[in-house]
Amino acid sequence: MTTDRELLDSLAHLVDDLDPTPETLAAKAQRALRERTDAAAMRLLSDSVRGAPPGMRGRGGTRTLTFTDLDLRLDHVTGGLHATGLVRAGTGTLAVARWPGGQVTAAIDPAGWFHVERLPFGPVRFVLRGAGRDHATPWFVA
Amino acid sequence: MQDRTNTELLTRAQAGDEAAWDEIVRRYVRLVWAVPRSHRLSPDDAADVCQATWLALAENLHRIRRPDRLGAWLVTTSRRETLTVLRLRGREEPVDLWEQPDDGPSPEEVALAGDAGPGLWRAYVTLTDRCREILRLAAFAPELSFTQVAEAVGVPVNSLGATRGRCLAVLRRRIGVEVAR
Repeated sequence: MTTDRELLDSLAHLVDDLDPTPETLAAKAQRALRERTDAAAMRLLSDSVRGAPPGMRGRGGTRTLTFTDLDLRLDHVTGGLHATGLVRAGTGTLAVARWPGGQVTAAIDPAGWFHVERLPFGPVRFVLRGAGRDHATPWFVA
Repeated sequence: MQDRTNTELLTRAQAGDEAAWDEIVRRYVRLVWAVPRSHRLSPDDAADVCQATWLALAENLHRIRRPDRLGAWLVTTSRRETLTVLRLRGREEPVDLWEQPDDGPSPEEVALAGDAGPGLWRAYVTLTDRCREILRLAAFAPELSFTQVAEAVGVPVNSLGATRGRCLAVLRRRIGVEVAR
């Protein structure tokens, strides 16, 4: 006779053996504290992936995200993603695409557009820089 | 740091104390990993979800109003990103199916099970995503209340007990263990 707790404990031990947490994961998690910013937060308003109807999902498509001060489009290209952004007027003059351990900066044109080539897959955020306080999106998996 | 409360650790980490942050990671890294893996995300995708979850926590340290519910916050955040990545990869969200799903254990999973725990592991990997998630949370984080687990996995709190019970019953049936009641 096995109690529920004993069964769950056995499961925990087995999962630890067969699907252990990668050692590199803890190291990456520890470095997350250094990625903080004091930028003003831009809220996510919509994400086409979350709202897509059945049959309209999957790799190879275009993803659009709307934040409070930024419209973002991500297109799959060879070797990564191409990001096209449209910034609300006056929010910034530079757009910084950041990922753990790296970043790339793009100029925002007078109409509010910017482009970032070959953005890597994985966690990413966008920071808008201008004369005032930076504005940053939440982290999300691209 | 191991004797510090979550409240103390969050306060210290917010001030930039890396030792406090490392202790938070140590306490919950296994739980955060469990969420995407219970939804069968690949190790690479699961690692991305976990990293995004930790980055989100670092950014929101000052917004954690209930330190005692930090585990549930991490599960909720990790699950939301997991479901997004599932959709990015063209897969549906988990559904409630009590019988064996079409996507049973992969050859890799069966091979991994080997002789180490063939009954339990083979039974576990044939469960639905929802059952795998609930049981893995119950296994790794028994301190989470029913309410916290229910909120984290998107199940009405008044049905979680029955849902968990059905998951355990299916697991027992599949490993041939007589229900100990």
